[in-house]
Amino acid sequence: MLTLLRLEFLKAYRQKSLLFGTLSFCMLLCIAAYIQHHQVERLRNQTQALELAAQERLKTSLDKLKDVEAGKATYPSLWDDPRGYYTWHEVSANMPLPPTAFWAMGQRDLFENVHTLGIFKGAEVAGKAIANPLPMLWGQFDPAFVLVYLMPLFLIGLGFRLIGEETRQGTLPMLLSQPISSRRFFAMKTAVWFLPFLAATCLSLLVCQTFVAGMGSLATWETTVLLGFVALYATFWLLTTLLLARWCSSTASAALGLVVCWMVLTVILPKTTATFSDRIYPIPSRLLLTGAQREATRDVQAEANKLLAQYYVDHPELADEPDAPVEASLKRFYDYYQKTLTVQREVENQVLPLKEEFYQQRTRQQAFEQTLSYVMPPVLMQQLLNYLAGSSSQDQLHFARYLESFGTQWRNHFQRLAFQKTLISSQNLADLPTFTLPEISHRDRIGNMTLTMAMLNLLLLVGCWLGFADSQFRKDLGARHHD
Amino acid sequence: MIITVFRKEWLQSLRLGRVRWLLGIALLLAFASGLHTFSAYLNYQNEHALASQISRGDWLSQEAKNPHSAAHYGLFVFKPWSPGSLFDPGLLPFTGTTAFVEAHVKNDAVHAPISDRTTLARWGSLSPAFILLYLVPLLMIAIHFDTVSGERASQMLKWTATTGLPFGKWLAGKWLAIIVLPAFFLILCLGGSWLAAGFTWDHPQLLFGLLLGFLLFYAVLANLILWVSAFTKTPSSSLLVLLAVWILMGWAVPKVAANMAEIQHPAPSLAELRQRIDAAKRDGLMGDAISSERLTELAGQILKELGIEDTPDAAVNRDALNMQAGEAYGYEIFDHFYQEVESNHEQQRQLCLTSSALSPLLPAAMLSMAFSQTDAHAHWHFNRAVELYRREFVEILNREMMLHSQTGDWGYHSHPSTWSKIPEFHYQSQPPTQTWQRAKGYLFSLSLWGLLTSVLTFWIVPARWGWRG
Repeated sequence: MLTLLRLEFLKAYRQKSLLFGTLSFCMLLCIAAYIQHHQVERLRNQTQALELAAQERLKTSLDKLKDVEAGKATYPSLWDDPRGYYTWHEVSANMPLPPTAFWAMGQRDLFENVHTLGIFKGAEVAGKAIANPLPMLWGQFDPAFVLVYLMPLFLIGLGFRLIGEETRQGTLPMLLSQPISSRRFFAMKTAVWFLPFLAATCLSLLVCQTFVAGMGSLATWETTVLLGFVALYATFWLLTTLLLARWCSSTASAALGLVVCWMVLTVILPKTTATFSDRIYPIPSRLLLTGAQREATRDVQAEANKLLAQYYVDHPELADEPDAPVEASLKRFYDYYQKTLTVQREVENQVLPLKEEFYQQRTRQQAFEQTLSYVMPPVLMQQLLNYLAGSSSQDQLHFARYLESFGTQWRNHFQRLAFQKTLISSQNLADLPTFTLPEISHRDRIGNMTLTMAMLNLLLLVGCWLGFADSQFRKDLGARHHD
Repeated sequence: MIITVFRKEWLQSLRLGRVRWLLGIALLLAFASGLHTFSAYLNYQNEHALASQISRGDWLSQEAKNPHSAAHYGLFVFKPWSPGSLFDPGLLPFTGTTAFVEAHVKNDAVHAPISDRTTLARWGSLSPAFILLYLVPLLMIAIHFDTVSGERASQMLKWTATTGLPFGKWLAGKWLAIIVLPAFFLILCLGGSWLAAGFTWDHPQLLFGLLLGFLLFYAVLANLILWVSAFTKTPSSSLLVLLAVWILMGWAVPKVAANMAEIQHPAPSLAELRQRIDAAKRDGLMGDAISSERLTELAGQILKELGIEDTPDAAVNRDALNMQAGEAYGYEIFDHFYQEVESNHEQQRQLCLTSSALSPLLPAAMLSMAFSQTDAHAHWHFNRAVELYRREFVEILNREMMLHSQTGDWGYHSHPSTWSKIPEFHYQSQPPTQTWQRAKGYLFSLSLWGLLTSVLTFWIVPARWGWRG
């Protein structure tokens, strides 16, 4: 046995394909991590620049407010005065970028990272209107792509000749004449090329993680999950390769069968499932939703227009009379905001059931796809990386929903001020709500996915155990030789 | 002679069980993809008609109000899908479908269908173009990978040489056998999409462009298959090399090209763009803050267009006139910044086109989207049409206020019949000549690929190997 193991090692070493394949794969993984890290950093810098600009604006407004409070400055109208609400009515909220964001772009490229919301418009995550859609279509060259799509191909490339080549060269019967069972022989043969590949892949993952997120990130739960799941995913493809190579009569048909299997599992099945789930749980059309929202708000808006007629609705500053007494101006100001914000709330209430239906249907679709994805290991692998990178559709949905509720909270704050007839002051400025996205846990989902992956591997292992049983294997080999 | 080789190739292939299975699966998938795109297209057309009707009805049913308030109330317009989307939905799922038209602000089309979908939708859905770009090449490889290497391995090459058949004709017969299957799928998918569009795909130039582009693409693939099969020693090596080529050209190169384009020419975020637009509105485009003189000049131009003499007692509402002048200045700002964004996308596209030196699938995929009018250009064309419509919309309403009310009369209300003066939004897709102009680059790239691979196959292969094998 040890002699055979030594011989296999020597063979793998001489062929160079193992070394070349493993090194190329690890290099691709590192390049993808570098590219994605670059993209995430760019996004981070963009977000920081916008945050800085917003802080700068806030500081300027605060200085103006302090000047007014100190009597150093006056404004002819409350609409320009920093004590009025207009100066403060907008706030920005951004989707957090975790240190592991570089693992997968996921759904992140579909949405803007920074959103501005205010009291005059609802908070909505509406996509990425001015981005070039071509990279969205082709996807990113990120570690997720290398692991989900390319790793299986490298494993197939390294393993498809495992049996066929020995058969073609006529060395298999000779090798099996040694006092070793066929199961043990193939397990040993597989271990010789699979374990170095897996070890190098895990090492590359750790190197990338350390390079991007620092040494501290290595001892985290996420890193353990990532390594464990990658090992399970690689094992899945290893066992599939072994099984197909076992049943195919030649190396060419094994290679073809494996590529068809890869194509079906990584491309056709996910595509078909996406198409199918859209038929079963169609998301309410945005086109019709827009129309319905418009209809729902029309009556409220008509009423509002009557209520707010004296404020010129869209340009209340034009209704202000510069020479009017202060009390009259204040009354007009509070009156306008009380009515406007009440109308806004009413519109929101009218639209709420439509939005709820929309979100519920999306949740149903997601649940359906989640169930079906349990038989699609590539989808599981992609989802896991998305969860770790904080770019899954669940993360986006969580952000969108929280942003909407924060928008309501923000508007309610100003409404309360208007009804309390209070202007903005440097004291009450600290009471303005701040956007802090609560964390969402994916641990349950990740647990289920890992369990499913382990079960699939177990099934394949049983298949291999039966397929490589001594008597059956030698019988098939004999029959093939006879043919 | 060529036909005899061609017949022999196909008879031999059809005898293999794997070929029959693969053909059956590919046909089934082609049928399913056609059905899916057809159903999605019909569904969208119905929704589009209904949503447009609701939006128009909503606009017309407004009560009497100030025209400027109506301009702020605005209306929604929706992007129609081109009949080409039945063949290749391209970037449609990734681009906005709904644009809000209002005063002062240019709103981009939002609500791209993909943004409402889950992770699985990123795998995309089945479409005839996907079948032709990804599956058919795989099918070609699966059937013909051993076309030369298999004959060499089984010593058949020497036997064939003894028949006195010229090597070039033998190769041409094989080439014909490889190209016939994709040509069949191409006609099936294109014809099916054309029929499904109910003959509304009324630009034969676009269909011809697709046909030509795909035939060039398949010719390149057929050359590559022949060359690799002749170059490698065993059938399994041919298969391995061809599969590696397929994966590189189909999955890796497009991603890397798109990423590199993004890194090389980074696009601004929407928030950044809005910040710049706001700054330009505040401080002027070149820091030359819009002065009262500039506004007066623009207002003067508007009055001149209306045929009204610019005198202090002219019968116009100066507030509305100033608003329209402000809009006119806004047009310059929007044009300037959106032109920048468009050029940025164009630079990214050029880089992708340059990367097509590494993959013939890249120009073929871009060509497919261009001729189906589902590429980024088609989306920009729609955005520009919406902006032109918005300008007309705002101008009509400002003119209404300008000519029918007095300066300072913000309480002026227009009669509800005024709203019907706003024409309906009818989007005309870009003319085929423009599409052809843009697609020239892709066709050129594919032709270069064709030339290079033809030299490799029909010149180098006979010269280097010939019947010697």
